[in-house]
Amino acid sequence: MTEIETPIDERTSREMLKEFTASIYQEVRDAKEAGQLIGWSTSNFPKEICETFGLKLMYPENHAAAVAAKKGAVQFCDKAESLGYSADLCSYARISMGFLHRDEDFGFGLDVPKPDFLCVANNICTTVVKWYENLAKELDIPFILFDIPYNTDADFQEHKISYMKEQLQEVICQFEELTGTAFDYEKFHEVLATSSENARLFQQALDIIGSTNPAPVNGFDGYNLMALMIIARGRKESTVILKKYISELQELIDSGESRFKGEEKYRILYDGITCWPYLSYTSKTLSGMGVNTVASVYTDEYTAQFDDLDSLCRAYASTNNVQGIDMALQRRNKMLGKYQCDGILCNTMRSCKPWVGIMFETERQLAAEHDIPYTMFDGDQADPRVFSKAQYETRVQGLVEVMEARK
Amino acid sequence: MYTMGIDIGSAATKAVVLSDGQDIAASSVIGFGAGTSGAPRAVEDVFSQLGIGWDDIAFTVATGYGRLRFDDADKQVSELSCHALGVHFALPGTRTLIDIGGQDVKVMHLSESGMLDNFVMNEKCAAGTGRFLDVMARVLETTTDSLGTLDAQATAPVEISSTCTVFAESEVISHLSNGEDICNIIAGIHNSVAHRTAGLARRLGVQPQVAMSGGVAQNAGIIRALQDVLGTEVAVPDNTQLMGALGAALHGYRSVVGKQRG
Repeated sequence: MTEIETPIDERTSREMLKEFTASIYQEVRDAKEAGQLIGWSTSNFPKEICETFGLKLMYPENHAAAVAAKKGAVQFCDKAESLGYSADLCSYARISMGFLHRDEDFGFGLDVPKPDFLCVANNICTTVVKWYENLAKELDIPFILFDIPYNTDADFQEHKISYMKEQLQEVICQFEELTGTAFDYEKFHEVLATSSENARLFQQALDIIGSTNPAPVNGFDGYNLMALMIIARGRKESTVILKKYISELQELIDSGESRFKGEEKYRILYDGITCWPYLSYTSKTLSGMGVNTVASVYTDEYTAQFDDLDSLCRAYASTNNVQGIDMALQRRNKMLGKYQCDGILCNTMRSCKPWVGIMFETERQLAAEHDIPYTMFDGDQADPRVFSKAQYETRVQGLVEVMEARK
Repeated sequence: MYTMGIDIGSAATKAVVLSDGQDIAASSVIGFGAGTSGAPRAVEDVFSQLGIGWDDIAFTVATGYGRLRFDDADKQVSELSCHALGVHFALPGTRTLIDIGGQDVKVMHLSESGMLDNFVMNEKCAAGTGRFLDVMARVLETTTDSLGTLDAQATAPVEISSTCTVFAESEVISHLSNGEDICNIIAGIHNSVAHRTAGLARRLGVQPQVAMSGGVAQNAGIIRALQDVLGTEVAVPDNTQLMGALGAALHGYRSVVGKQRG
């Protein structure tokens, strides 16, 4: 384990994280008020480019998740559906479109101004392009697309990486035109270094949780921390918070303590986006049965490191929803082995077809390869109407009973 | 020694009092499920059959949809494990078990000792569940209990292509409007349920012996259709509706014996 210098800050990492993420939303509001351009961006767009230009971004997926966690999903999904958007569309998209047309402020520090430009990378979802095209058309604002080819092979194809690199040059030109400023490559490399360091630290934190048996914390911690990697990956403040969190993990391990409530009897991999509207309930149901989510495909999405355009392209081409089954298996195999998982729990998210499409076959192969059970429950990342607590409880308990029988 | 298993399902509550882990001393089926008077009524029924009370029960296991809200249980176990244990007791050679409940469909693999080894369940949708059959019986102006007998009289089953309960209901109404024989419609419905269930079973892998438990297993038309689609015999234990409660009572017995052995 790499030695981590303990930062001097009396606040806990959780307090620091909460304050910092709130300040990011405030920065966006302040920038808009000051007449600066602000953008909305997909979660895995190469935000390092915007950071280099000093452009403030808001991330609608992160925003929709936060709205859902504050029990606001239904009203905005309803709004979007009443505008004509199908209930089968992504709940993040529906919340975003509904929120844009909200009749009054929502509160919780989540009222964000309308964007002046949009940044779209389709590595998180192929259909996200349509969501942002609609935003762009409705608001009549620039739409900057970074098209990332789907990887059906076990490794990256060089021509796809070249295609991405050439596009990035064009993306940079589009931002130069938008801002009237020349791109500062020196600053870009500084941002890349910070971004890469943060990814390394985030990976280290996840590795400590996954590799320590029993884990020092509930694996759901990773979902909170992940927000940093989405909204502030290239920021030095994130580095400080991640280091603080790692030092807390080390303290817990050194003292033989764990923040996981109860005894950790089973360690699982969670596949799919977490159910934000039921975050606490799903976490408590698992911990109540002695199950710790020590590995997560979702958090693993945000650990890629890079230091130049080539490695940046490879990193952004390695997100979950742009990977075919070969790469999907590699990613999950790595975690299942390294983190000593006893089973897999999958959220067959009703509105995330790109992820769920290969889930059944992926899990079948993983279960056979590792001789572990898996189960699936119906849910969604943000729409609370497609989740049943009784169904979740039965399936989790069934998984526990199979894991117990196989021990 | 008595142990009790109570299976509080979405549509009915079943209770079994087991004597020394061997014999069903009393059982009850009440047609009301979780959140109703079903659970206390089932308990009262088995107690009155034996002239006993709570003090005479060494261990109680609750299972089914309402298991977590039954305060008198010593332990809650999923209906998956309980059905596995119950059917293993009744039909020891079972390796693949199908249970169609009021609101879900489960396919389970059993180990040689009757422990739950793996399982798959349906998506959150009423298609192919017991509730689906209830809805169809109502539309056809018959009862769920009669579906099996009517299925046996079918000569040319119709195709029911929709997997959604509401759309399938429309399809059934359309067949009725066209003057189709009710027995053929019922057989078509059973075939539709069997195809959905077989899809789940194949996902897990069909290992003989195959058995079916739960209330829907009392419907001979479903068994007929499942055997046709799976191409294998599907055994049904006696008192099939009680298998979850029986498994729960067995689980209770194992818990007590395990404790006594230390």
